[in-house]
Amino acid sequence: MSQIELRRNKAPQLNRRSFLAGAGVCLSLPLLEAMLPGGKTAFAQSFTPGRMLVFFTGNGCHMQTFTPGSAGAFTDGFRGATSLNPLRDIWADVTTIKGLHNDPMRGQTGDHGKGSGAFMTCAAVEKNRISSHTTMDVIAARQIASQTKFANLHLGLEQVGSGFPDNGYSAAYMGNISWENATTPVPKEIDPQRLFNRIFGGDLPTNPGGVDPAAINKSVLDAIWADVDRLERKLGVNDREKLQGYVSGVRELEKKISGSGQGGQASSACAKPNIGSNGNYARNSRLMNDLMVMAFTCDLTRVISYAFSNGMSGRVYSNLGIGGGHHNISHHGGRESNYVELRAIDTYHMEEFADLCKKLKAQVDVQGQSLLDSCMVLYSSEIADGNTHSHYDLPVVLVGKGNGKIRPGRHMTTSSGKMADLFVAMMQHVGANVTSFGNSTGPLNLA
Amino acid sequence: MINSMRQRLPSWLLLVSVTAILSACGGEDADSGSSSSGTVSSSSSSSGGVFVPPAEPSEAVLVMALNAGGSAARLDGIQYQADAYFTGGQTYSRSSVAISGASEPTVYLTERYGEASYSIPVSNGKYTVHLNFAETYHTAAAQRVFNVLVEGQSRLTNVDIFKSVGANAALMERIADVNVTDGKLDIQFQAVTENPKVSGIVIYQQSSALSHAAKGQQIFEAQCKSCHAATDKGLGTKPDESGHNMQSLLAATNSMPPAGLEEIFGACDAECAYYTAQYIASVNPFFGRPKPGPEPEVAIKAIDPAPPLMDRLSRIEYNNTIRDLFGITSNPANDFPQDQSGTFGNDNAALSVSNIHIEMFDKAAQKIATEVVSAAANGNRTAISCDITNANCAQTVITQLGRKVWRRPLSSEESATLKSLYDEVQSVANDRRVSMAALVRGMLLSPNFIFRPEFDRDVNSRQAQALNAYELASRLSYFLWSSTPDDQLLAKAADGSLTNDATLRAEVARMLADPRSDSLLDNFAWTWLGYDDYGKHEVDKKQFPQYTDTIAQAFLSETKSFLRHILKENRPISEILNADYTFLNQPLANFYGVQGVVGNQMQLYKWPEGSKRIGLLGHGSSLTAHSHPNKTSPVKRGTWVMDKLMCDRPPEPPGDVIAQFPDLPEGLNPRAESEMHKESSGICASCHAYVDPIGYGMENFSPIGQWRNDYPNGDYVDSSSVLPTGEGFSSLVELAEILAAKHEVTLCSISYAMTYATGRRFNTLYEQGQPSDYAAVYEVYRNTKNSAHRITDVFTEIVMNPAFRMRRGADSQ
Repeated sequence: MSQIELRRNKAPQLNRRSFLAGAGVCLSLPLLEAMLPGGKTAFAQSFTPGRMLVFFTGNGCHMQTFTPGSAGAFTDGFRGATSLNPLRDIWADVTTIKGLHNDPMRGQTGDHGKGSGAFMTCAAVEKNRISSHTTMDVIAARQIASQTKFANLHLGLEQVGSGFPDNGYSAAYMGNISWENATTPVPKEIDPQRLFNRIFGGDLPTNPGGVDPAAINKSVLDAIWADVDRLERKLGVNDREKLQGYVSGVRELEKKISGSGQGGQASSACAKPNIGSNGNYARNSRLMNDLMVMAFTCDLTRVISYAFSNGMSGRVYSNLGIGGGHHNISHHGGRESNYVELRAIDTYHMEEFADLCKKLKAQVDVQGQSLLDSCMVLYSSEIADGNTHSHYDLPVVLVGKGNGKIRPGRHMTTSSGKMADLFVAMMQHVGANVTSFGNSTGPLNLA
Repeated sequence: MINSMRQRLPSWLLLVSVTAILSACGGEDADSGSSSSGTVSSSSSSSGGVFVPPAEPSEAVLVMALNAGGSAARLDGIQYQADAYFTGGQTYSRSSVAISGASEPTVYLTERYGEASYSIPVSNGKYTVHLNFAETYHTAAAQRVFNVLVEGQSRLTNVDIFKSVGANAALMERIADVNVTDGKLDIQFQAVTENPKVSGIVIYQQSSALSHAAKGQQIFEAQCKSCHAATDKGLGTKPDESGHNMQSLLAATNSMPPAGLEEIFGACDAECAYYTAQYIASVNPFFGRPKPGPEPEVAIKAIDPAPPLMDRLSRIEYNNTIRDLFGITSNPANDFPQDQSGTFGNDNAALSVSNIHIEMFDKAAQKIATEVVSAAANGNRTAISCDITNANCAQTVITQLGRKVWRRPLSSEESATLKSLYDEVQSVANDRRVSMAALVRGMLLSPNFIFRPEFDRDVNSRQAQALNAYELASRLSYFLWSSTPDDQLLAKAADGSLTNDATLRAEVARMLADPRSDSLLDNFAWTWLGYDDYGKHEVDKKQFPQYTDTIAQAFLSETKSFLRHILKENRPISEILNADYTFLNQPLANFYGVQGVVGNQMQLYKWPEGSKRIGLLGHGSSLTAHSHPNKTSPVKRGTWVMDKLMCDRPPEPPGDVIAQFPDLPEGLNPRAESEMHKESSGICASCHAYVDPIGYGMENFSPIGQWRNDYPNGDYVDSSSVLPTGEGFSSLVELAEILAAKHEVTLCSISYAMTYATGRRFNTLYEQGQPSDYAAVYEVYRNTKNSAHRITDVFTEIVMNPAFRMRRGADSQ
């Protein structure tokens, strides 16, 4: 069976009918109704869901001050990794890992493009066209999609670029770390206000005339399905494949407008955050942190992928008084003046990451435990050293206890050699039944 | 000998193939050890002396032939023995069926099917395997698809015999370079759909002596590839390279490596040059054909109108379409997720659809439908021409508005579906406004609106088929207007006249005169030349306080006015480079040090004789965007020109090259820094020799595009250099004139325009086994040559080109 045939599985279409018939009976109230305006309902649950968040920054790190000098527990600081100092207050929740590579991204040129493309796919991506793979966050999210309102969120602070700027590797790889399928990134939200509206805002507009929108929706969607069927019969293989994104979107829409919004386990701390207006990246970073923390607190999602900067980002960190673009500086050529700036940028990244982690730590989940205990929050990049574009020993900082799966407060070295092994551990942590992924040979042991 | 080689070559090169270099280049040069050791390599074809090549090694030797699933038989003079050495699978045979393409049918009439494997005893060595197949059972494509693994490696994937040759026809697949090290040649058949099958297996032992081309390939891989990789800089396969006959090919290989780089890449004497030329000739599609480039007589290959992937309206196209259909100017698509883009924002392969898109499409459709119906209820008949309280109005809307929204007439089936949507809603709502809104929403959410599908009469046909008139109308309007066809275009499609050359030309002229064609400036020219990203560029304001927001704005206005002029006044493409005019307002004129321009309006300004600026390369925007925030970069400026105007973007330096880069002394000016590439490492020089000279020609302009005689450190600025093609220049003006005259620039510009026109990336570079669009691009080049490639002529000829008006079947390979 070809790929396209696999994807066109007709079964969900049959389920669609029965699903509509039974909707509203078997499902709990949509989360927002349970939660707002003054809901703040604490569900009594014995089960603590696992959560994962990937915090990505482009261009790698100054590894000399990013990687602890030796394996072992953190006692006084991070064993020489001074760039991690912003995490000092929560050192006991921090695990740093050395020995994870992303092999499929190796090659002579185009390392940022390939590296970002392969970052959460752990598989090679193609040149001069957009052809990636489903990323690990989406694979995991699909399996637990029914448990929260949003299966996963893909967030960032920078626009996606255009063209094929890195030796023929698409800007789409560097601007999107999360992909639904080979050609479609999960749309990335970079505007905190829009994100707020999407996850905490109202629902679809109601139809005019006070008519039951469900009946109208059904008629409209019936016509759409008829169009889809007719179209599929006439198109070639590639066009049919392209149509699949549309088909799956309409199925999803059907679920949404049939009123079957999903409910999660909102903690008592869940509240519609009061966020101010957008600003520059420094301000938006804090707004995004607040929104991500509240999305977990309200159990709107359990999987977030967040790109603080894009792969090969040329951001000018004017708030740090640095005049050059990050990517240019990262090609340090061994110059001390570049190292100084890279350390400043790494430290700033770590401050923003620490702000997020501390807020997660301060928040409580449905059982009144620190939210961070249920999390695996990963900090990483598409490469290690910016000058050599190394894909070995990627920068890896993991924060949270992963519901007890992680023994934190230490620097560990592993012979695993594969980022994919860490990702399998993360996917399993959120409840996805995944045993193989990319070049993984099994979950990384974090205990 | 090996030791001395090791000293002179970087380790990565040695790893690739020491033996190839040694055998090809001879040991004597390698041993001499002095820096002038590459004497034989030389820079001219006269140096290597005459090399008399030995005879090509003899053909491969037949080792064994098996008639899978059958008994001994003969085919093409080869005696096949009865089936043996298999595990698994079953047999099947047909009798007395004619097998087309086979001299004798017997082998093809029997088969072993199922997931069988063969383990055939052979001596260790290198083999070529031929597999015979015929589809004697299934009667359609995709009914039997399978993979073949040889020695555990996937060698054939998704074999579909019927799809390749049809039923009862011979198919022979050749698998070369099979290395056997365990005394058994293993072949495995793996099902994808239904049972795999095989009719015959023939095994040849490859001669251990390498063919001349194979020797050349080894040399190429070791010594040439880092600069001439097929996918980046062409394996001598760029249209303009002199690979068209053996004489010029030998001249080219004899001149390699470039003088002074023998130590890095290894010398190449006459023997080495001979074998390398043989290899290039074996893979270069231009070999033996008329010389392409500026004066070819015939296109080198028939134009291949590859079908683009089905278009999805981009955000810009969606907004324009809604504006032109309904007069709604609120840009509803601005709420959609950001589009991914390929070379341009209309790249079909990049415009995919996610779940969030559908959610947003439906929101937009509901909003627009409500607005349209409200307008109609208030008597506005622009979009809906009938009274919506009238029961018959729905059918009118389906027929009339449906044709506009879907850009073609609806089939009776489609029409009926929409009618029942309306009727169903009406039966529940009993409110014709609500029902009409649901109908319009359904039209706008439909894939027939969101996408721009094109239907092939035969999806499997390699034969180019003309688009139907409506499909052509859509391609035309989304190319020239980034929007939907208007009434006149649909009328010309309805009566079929649009497919006539004269009508089509007239429509292109009309559309280019329409203000909607401004989209070509915003979505084509602006993106092509890279100004989309200007807003991301930062300038070091501490060093350059004079670079204000006013100046940044004026930069962009200058360039936009200039490009608009080129488009609207039908100027030759070369004028982008060598225009003796620009557009200035007073602040910008002051910034450039030009007297006599008054007011804030951009105005045409002709550079006086002897001016330092010329064309687009003299614009402040171009000079600034391709600088670092605080200093100029000859590399960035040169890369931009090569990428956008010569379609020859140099590769980024590989990581291991960067790692070898030495620490730079402090205080060098940017040109001196770039010159270090040449002095420090040959591999750097090999690419920078192409990029940097162009940048040097622009060095007299500061990181914010102001003239300077000296660098901040007091060094005198030297703008003179020599292009690798030999032309010397001493200023930007001279450089621009050299570039403007290059046909590569024209061909490249046309290829960008064709990429935009079709929404698929045009490939003018030859890669083995990949289709190329060079012939189509060249056709446009030739047809516009008499008018000096004026821009509207270029657009018109693109539309007239088969690559735009036709498509071969979507499923043809």
